[in-house]
Amino acid sequence: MATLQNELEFSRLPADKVLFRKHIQRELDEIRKEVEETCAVAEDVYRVPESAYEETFSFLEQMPRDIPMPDMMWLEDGGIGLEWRPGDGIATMSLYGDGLVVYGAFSTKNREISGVCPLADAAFLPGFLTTLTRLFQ
Amino acid sequence: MNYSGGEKFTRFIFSKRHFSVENKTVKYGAFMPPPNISDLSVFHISSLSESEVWEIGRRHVETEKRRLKARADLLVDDVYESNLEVVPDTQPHELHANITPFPIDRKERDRIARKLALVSELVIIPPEET
Repeated sequence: MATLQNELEFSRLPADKVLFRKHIQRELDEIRKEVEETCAVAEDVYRVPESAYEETFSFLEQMPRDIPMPDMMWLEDGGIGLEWRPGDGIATMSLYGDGLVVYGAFSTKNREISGVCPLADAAFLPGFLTTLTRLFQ
Repeated sequence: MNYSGGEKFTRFIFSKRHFSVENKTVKYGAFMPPPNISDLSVFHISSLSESEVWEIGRRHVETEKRRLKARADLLVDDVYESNLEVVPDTQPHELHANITPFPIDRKERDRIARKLALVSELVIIPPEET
């Protein structure tokens, strides 16, 4: 794991984005495979649309460098989930391929923010990412 | 029927992406039901031993093609704090119940899933005895 973390930190350097992109793509490919396998045997699980993988890739590629790489997962309602665990809290983003992002953060000190906004929103999303950055400081 | 405070429930987990062994945490994805379903399936485990809990999971929840990987234990109090109920639903087992009603609104669903993930306790499935 430490090796992976080092690899990711290295890959966030401008000089080497290729490794970082490969890592994201590998994760998304694994998720896609698991979703396909699950949908083949579970009727009520929604298939993740291809646009959700594309949005996730695009978002992570442009994510500010001071935010750690999130844990990535598929959601039974047809989305891709990103999760961070800063300190005693939790922060998440869900992407469904419709251009919107569902975001939120909660800490055990009962401080909470949540919302839905367009991925391209120049005002709201950077605000959440700034909050996320602060949570990790 | 309302369950008393302190009663323990578990949600079985099928995907390794819905928990972290390293951080001993359950991810919010483990608590996200499909979009048109307002129930989240759980089992009432207060009176059960560890082996009895896993026996229910193996016999009544997992299938040959969809294997259990872990479970998320939580107290009913944490469900009530999210303004949800736990309602008995004795299929496929007499201790089965549903956390309900999960809202339709995505923001609210995420919000509840985050809270439940944060307060739940991860238990990894032990190797099956032969």
